[in-house]
Amino acid sequence: MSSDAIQVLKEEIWRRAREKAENIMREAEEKAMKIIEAAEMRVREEVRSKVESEKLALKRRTLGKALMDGRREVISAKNEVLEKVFERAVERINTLRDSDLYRGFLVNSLKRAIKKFSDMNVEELAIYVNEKDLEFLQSRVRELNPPVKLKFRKGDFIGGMIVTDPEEKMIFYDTIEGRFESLKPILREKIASILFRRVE
Amino acid sequence: MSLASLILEEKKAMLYVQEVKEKAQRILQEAERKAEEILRTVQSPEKIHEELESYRKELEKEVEKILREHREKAEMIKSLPDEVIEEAVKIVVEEVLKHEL
Repeated sequence: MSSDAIQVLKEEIWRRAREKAENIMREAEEKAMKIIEAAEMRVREEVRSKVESEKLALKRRTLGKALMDGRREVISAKNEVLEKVFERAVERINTLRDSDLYRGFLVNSLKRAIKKFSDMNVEELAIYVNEKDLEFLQSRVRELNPPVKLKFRKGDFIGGMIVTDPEEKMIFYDTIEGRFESLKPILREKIASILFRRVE
Repeated sequence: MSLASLILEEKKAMLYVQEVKEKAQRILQEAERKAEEILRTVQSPEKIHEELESYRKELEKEVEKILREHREKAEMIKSLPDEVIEEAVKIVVEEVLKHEL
């Protein structure tokens, strides 16, 4: 065998050896990577399954609280607006004292009071009204022609009246404040549906 | 050069491949060791805590969104136009004065 031929064979031996070594290293690196990836995946899965129920509870608790806080803020804003409406309505009634609407209410209220006391056989009724309404009501007494004597007195309330018999056995209570209080729950719903329909 | 030198070269090449095999084996052993280390973290409460903490951060974004939406709604309610308020005031006044209690 010539030295050239031997040289060629040597190179071939090393070419094959290097190729084999490269394959061995590549396979080992790929396998190592797969081993680590598999371990990481298993960890992720196991941690996930372990914390899943805790996550669900955390989600319910956290989002539930956020929803409650948010709704509370909305309710508080609605209450603020509703109170503003009621406050303004009270102020408005004060300015409507000379209107037909308010005067009509006063006259009706007085008529109802007289009717209510009609079975009691009393000779006199005490009518408490706001001093601003005194003159108007006194001017309407003759027109109403009540079967009892009406004595008007100054009451410390916005409007409407409180009527009692002399012994105060019965009280007819029809003040503006009282009406607001009685009607507030119904009015709140009605007004809320008008006010907030645009933002719901 | 002789056939003997060829045999020697073959042996050297085989040794080289053997060394590479050993190196590959060490790589695999190291990977196994790392994998075991990774798997041990499952048992660690820190890992679970870490996972929950990262989830809590995700939830915070949702919380912010919910609160922002409600805050915007509350602001819209508070800034209702005056004519809408007036419409309601008118109804309240009429109901209070006309309602038969």
